[in-house]
Amino acid sequence: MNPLTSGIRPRWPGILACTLTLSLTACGGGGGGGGGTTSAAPASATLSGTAVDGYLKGATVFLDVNGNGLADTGEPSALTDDTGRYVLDVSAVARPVSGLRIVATGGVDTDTGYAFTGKLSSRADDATSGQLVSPLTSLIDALVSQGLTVTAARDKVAQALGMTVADLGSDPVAAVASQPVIYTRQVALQRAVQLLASANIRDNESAHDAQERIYRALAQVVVAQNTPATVGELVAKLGESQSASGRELADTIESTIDTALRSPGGLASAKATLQAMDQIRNEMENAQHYDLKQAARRLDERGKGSAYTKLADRSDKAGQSDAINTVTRTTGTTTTLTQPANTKGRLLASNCFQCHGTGGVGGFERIRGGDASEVKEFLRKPAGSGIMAAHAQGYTNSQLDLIIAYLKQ
Amino acid sequence: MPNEFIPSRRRLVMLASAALGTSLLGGIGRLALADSDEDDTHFKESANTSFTLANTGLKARVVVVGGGMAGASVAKYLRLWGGTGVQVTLVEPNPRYTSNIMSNLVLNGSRSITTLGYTYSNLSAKYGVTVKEARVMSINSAARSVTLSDGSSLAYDRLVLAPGVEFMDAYGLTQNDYATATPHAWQAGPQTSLLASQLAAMQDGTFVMTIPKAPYRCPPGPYERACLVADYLKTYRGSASRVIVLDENTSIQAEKETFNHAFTSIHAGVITYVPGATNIRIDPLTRQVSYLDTVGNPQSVNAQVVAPIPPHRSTGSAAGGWLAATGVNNSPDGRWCVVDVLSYESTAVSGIHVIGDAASCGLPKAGHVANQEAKICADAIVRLLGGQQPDPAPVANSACYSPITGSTASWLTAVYQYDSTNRKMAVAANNGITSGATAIESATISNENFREMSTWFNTLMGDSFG
Repeated sequence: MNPLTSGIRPRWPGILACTLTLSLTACGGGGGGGGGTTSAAPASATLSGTAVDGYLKGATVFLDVNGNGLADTGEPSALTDDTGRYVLDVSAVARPVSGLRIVATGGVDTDTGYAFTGKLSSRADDATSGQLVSPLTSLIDALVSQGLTVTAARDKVAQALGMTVADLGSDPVAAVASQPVIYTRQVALQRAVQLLASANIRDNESAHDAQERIYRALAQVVVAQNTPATVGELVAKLGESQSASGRELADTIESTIDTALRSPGGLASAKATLQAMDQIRNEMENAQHYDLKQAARRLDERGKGSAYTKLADRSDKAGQSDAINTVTRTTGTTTTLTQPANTKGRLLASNCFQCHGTGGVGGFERIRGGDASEVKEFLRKPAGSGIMAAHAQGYTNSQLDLIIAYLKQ
Repeated sequence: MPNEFIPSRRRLVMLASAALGTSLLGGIGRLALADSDEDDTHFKESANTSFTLANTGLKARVVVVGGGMAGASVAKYLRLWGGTGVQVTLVEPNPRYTSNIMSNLVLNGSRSITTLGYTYSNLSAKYGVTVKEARVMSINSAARSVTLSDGSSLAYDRLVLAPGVEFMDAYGLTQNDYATATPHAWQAGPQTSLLASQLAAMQDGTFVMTIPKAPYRCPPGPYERACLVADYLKTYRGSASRVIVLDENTSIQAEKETFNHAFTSIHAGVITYVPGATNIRIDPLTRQVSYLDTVGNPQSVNAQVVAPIPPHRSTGSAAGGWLAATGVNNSPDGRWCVVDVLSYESTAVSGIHVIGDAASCGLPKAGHVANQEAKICADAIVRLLGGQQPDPAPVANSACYSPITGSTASWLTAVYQYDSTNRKMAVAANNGITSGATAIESATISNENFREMSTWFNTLMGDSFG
């Protein structure tokens, strides 16, 4: 049907089809067209997709046929597998599935290993597979609840966050290497919402309901937002108590996770960092005291460390990097790196590893990657000014070039 | 004593013991952590990073004898650079290595000996090194096989010996005297603890230590020991405490400026440095020490504690030893193994490489240097196995920090370039030039250096064992 689908498998086939066939169909209404224009019952009797914050394992996913927000008897329901994948049997659903809410709760966030206490939702479209349920689809769903069409809601959310509609439908974990922002936005969004739900929960209101209410309040902010903003900026505009803390949390998560993703530890570091940020958030929620830095300090005092405080301090990038390294090792995650392919300069570079770690990824300073060439700055300093100056000057220029070239691979 | 008067050294002690409770959860190869500061981060970052092994297509068997700094490093890098087809078996009788580096800090109570322990679990788990807890009984260099104490034998294509050193009977003392009365503690372990407890029992007494003629393990180490013991004794064991350093060398062997300053200023009046001491005799029962001083006059001291660092030699190199039987200990005095510094292959026996303190290669005998010798050797073996020649211009390096008091330290560093004319490694400076170059020592003795020392140590151990 679509020449692009052989190379790129869109999560929302409707989006691409829609773009390509705009002149033929309006692609409106029930949200996406999947090439078709009417919302007929899907030919397939199953509806599958992925529930993701990190991938939610063992989460309950159901199709909210009657729209009451609860998993009622008779509504299609399934548990997600290790990669967040669910398959709903919709053969008994009489009405068209498109436009119904898919809701995911419970399970374990596989990126942090923590129980998932949030509630995610999405509006089903005509696709029988690849239906993503994520924080961003939850936000889209909240806009739909305000009366927007799914298409309009997607457009609005994409615009407000400076993303494309395709970004919104991309599996954030799968996209993390190529488009980390898709991941960082989602995890920041979900956590800010959960924090504000905790801070603003009403008597007799469930945590899930409180989250849904925050998502809907945020949807109003999005609707009014005409320029691209960060999650933090949107959250700050909420009229809820502790909105500033929500923003602080979202901003800190986005910056630390982005830094972690760019570190040699990559996704493993990001997961460890997210875990640490969740610990800080839990500390705030448990104490019902929504000061990020103070919560971080309390955790550090208990653990006799300083990593949480450093993570929470966005003004100190170096400190954050340091803390990311700390939390990466604390989780016991082993990061496996590939050695540079070109071995020229390898033996020379190995002189650096006693103080900068095997492969140049530890110790005094990480030197693998772009930082490798910093060694040349020490050539201009007096040899007695410091151990690195003294050391660097023992190498010839061409040897340093070989070392740098090796480490930059 | 009110808390505010607890000096920094004691705080360190308290930190170290406080850390023990949780430290066993630390890095995999690490038995326990030291001071509970962030410096351990650096070690563990390395410890939590592993690398995919190189894809070389090589197939070979390499046996490594000795699991110290040199042996552990060469085992790791042979796998890392040689790939999965290079089977590496590490033969080591002890289940753990106790680091000599930092072990002088056990003497003043600021570190416990258990914080210096490293196992081989990372080498096996992360790099696929086979660890064999056994002793070498004999080597058949013609058949290229090694017979072990458990009766088994291992065939090899290349053999790397990293046996370290053993200590000679000297000054009228025996191995038993070292173990029970006058510990040299120059191999970290029970003797280190014994010496620490002897020092802790002193009161306004005299501590005598000796330094053998170079080459010996860790050139700045004995002077560092003199400083740390002086600092400890004068602060805790009476202001009349004295340290007498009998150096069989005619001058300080490393960091001359630093230690001269330390002896004559920081620890002035406590340390008496006697260069060129000869005819040293030590009575293990009375702790009486006699010697001829710098100008040849006989002297005698009644010491409370004596720590002689006796001359050493490659382990197994004494007559009848397993190493001597191979003939690789071919230095004129038979104590060291002369090697080609491009490959660390023995100049006496082909197929056998010797690295670390046992080797005679022109580089200082020290852990950081041993680590780099191991890398040069590993690289050369990988090339040789692939039918190539060793790197024609290897570079080695040295960096070390020496504590001067319980909270300050100095550093020393050198880069060694290959001098193809003399086929030797030579110190280089000023853009790699060897002419007139010397190792460079820190301009200051500082707290900052002391902090950096932990990072250096932890990272070095991570690169070697992690």
